[in-house]
Amino acid sequence: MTALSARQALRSRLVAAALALLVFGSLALVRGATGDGSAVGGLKVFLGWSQGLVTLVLSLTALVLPLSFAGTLKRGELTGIALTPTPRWQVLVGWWAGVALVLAGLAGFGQLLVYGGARWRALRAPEEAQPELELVLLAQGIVRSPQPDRALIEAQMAQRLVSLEAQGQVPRELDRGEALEELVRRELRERRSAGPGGRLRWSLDGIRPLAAYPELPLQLRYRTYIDAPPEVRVPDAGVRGRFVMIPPGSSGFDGPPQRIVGRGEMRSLKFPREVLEGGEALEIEFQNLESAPATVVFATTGIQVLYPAGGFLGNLCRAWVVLVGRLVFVAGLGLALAALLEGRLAVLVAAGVLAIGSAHGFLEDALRVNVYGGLDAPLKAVVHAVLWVLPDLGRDDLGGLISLGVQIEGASLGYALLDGLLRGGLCLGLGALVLSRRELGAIR
Amino acid sequence: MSPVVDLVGVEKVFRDFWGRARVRALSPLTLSLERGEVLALLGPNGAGKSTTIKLILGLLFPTRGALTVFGRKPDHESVRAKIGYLPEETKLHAFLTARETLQLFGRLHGVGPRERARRVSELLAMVGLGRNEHRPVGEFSKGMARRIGLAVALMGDPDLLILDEPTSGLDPLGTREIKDLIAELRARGRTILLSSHLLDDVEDVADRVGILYGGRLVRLGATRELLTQGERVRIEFARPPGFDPKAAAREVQAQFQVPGEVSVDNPAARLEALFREVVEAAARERTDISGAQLGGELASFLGAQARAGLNPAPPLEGASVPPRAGLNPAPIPEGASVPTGQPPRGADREETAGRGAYARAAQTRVGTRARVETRPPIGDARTPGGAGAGRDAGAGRGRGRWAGRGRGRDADGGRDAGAGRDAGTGRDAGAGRDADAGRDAGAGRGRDRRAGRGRRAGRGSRGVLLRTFVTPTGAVGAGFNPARDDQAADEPAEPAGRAVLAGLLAPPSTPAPVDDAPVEASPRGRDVLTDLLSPRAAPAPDAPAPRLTRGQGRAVLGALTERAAPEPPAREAAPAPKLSAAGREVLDGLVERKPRP
Repeated sequence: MTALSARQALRSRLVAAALALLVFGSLALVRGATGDGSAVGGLKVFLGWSQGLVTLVLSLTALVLPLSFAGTLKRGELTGIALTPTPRWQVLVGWWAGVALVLAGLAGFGQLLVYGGARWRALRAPEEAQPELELVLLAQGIVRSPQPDRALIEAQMAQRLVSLEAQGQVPRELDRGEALEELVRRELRERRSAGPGGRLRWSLDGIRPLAAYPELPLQLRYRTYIDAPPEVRVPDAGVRGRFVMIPPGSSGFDGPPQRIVGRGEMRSLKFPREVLEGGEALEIEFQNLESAPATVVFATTGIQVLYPAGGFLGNLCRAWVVLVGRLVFVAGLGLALAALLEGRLAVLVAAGVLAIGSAHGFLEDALRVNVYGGLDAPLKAVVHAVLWVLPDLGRDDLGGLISLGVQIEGASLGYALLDGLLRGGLCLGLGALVLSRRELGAIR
Repeated sequence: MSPVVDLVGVEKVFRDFWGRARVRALSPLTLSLERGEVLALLGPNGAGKSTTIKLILGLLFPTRGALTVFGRKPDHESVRAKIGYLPEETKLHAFLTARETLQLFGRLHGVGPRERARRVSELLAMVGLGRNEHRPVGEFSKGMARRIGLAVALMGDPDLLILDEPTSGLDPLGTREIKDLIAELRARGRTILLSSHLLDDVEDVADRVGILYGGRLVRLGATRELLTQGERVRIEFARPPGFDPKAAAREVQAQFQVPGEVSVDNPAARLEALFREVVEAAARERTDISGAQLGGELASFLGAQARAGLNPAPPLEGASVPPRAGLNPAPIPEGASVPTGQPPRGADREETAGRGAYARAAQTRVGTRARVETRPPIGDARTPGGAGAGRDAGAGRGRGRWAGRGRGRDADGGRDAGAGRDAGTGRDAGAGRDADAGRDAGAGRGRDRRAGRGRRAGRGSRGVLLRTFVTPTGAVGAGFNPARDDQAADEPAEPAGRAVLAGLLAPPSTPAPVDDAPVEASPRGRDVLTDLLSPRAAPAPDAPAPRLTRGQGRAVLGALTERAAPEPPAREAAPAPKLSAAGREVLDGLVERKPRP
């Protein structure tokens, strides 16, 4: 069945259209993506968009392609197959495998287009831009600053609240829970803020740059906001500050003083890898050099250190694995629906499921707000269940990661593959159950 | 023994989305199908035939009642492994070629690679799609699609074959082949359930008939019992000179004091017979066609169980050994027997065969109200003695009937290729394994090529180059396969056949390679020889005259004569002659360009 399914899929106009769209889209992006006008900017835009194009086109293909099974059922081609001793669930699984193979092939083709386009653009870039491009055409590992222990902070704030209450500094009308929440929020913010002349320090471990890239620097990435009283006018260039890289037991490397822009944008700072001194740990300190009362507040995600961890092609392969995992799930879902519903209805339902899966994060955020009053709890229970069943298809922004030269993590690979196989398999199981009990050739 | 299919009070109601009863397709239906039986379901459109079949297949589930197939629920995997199904409309994956389609279904049936390849090849040849095996089935005509659908149904070597409108979309040859196939599979112990609107087809092959109307089984019984009109009589005989039909009618009326009208008429050949004759002649011209060829022999794996005695079907009362009366008869399976010197065993079978297309085509009917029919004794194809009986019977009937159609001279002379063709196809009840067949074997283009196959199939049938088979009435005949000329061309001939060939192919100046001693010829053989050497047998002016010495003619005669002496050792040892271009021309002249009255 696998070969039959794969052949049928390859013959479908949908696959031809998907291929054409990938090819022409990639060609257009190779020629047309400019970004901020620089070679690196153009390359980043190309990578982000082309990877996004591959993801989008193949997701839609994966949505519709399994529904050829519904057509096979409708046309009666499956009747003969269903009369053989081969169990129907095996037929369904075989069909799934065939569709998955074709999708995997298409995804591979799409990744090759991305790779070829990026290399072509890099070859045509001016010589002086090559070092920058190298940092994009790379898979950089990320070490993030550890998140504060929220439970510990809550405990500490609870004690402080008791102390404040004892001192009568807490208004009576204030709800205790809200007061505690406010205290925790303030404390967390305090821990990522550096006031005038203040310092912040993070300890990062597990920075393991590959020896294959000795020339490439490490990168520090951060996002900051400026908090200043209204009367203090913060210049557009931001406030003055400086990062200091301190290997354990060393005096450290002072970064140059710079302007910290407070617009919440992700900024990066390169620094030589020698600061690691052969180890994997590093302490990073931020010094607020501004004399004016302006506080630099770092984003809740903290800071990140990026290091060369693998090649660009390898990263594209990782992206391929993640993509295939998602496509496998979507294909399983589509097949299950095709076994249950008429073709067009199945497409509609599958599209809805895909949309919910892609909006996973949005829905999770929405669940934190009380919207429906008395119906809030039951509705949220349903949404929770849906979110639990459906995978988070927007979990890793492949285009974003590839365009930033960030390595796709092993955990993401495992999550995508397991998700595809387990949830897709679950869908298939339900579909097989339906198919085995479904009458074929009934009057409709 | 439990029935193969057992329906007890089965009802089927189709419901809409809301569960409301929409169509009552079957009212309580009780029906059983015994092993080795051919049951036909008849009925107008919407009577419930296809629903019944789909219930048996497990594609639909009964609303009420009990339904078992091979003692289990029909959707059980072990049951599905034993069922072959030809749906009303063949729905296959259009992009797969015929071979790939069969390969796919072979895999789904769990057939191993080697066995699968064998089955695929045999089935493609059997359904006449050998030359189209690499064409996508989506390009097939409806008839070709039916053929590949049939091959798919047989891929798993099913014990129960369910055919829904099996002859729909097939040409008359295909229809005939399907009927022959049904008969042969039934003989090999297979159980067959079919539905059809073509009542003649059903009548020819079915042991029992069930008639459905409005989802109810309104009639069920043996075909013969349902069709026999005991109050009517029909007499058949060869038309004597000066025969006056009106006088005969008056005489019958007076003699038997028939109260009503007595009608007398002449038999007419069925269009099916004429069509077959024309197409087969064209096939012998080796016209290359893109469509389906004439069907090949039955795939050898079908019925393997029956041959091995693993699962033989119990003979039904009134059944005869079924014929592979197709264009390419298959060898008679070991263990199968044909009654010798007895009237046809099965009343049903005899009736069916007698009313069949080719038997009917050969009849001279006197009166159409009824028919007095006694089939000739039937010879055993596997023994010379039995064959003798068969030959006599076949020759007598066959020629007589052809004579009645004005083709007697050729038939009597044994040179009528038409008769030979009928003998070859075995569909003409009158064409037995008589001198016609044997002579044609020697003289007919293409038939000697089948000699190799005949040697394998027709052991013990001396003087007959062709493989033997049993016609629907049990008469013994011989067959050839025009579609397989090429591959059979180099096959060695039967020893007796070699003598005939050697005589025919030797240059005129060459001494006859056979013993020139007088041979005792049967009257039939003398006719053949006379006809061969007679000036009136000269071919048409535009054809080269066959050169045949009297000694060679004797060789022919010797080969054709009943109870001929054992072949001389030298002849036995002689290498098998191959058909040269000149020889082919001679043979063509003898067979194809014969003078017609």
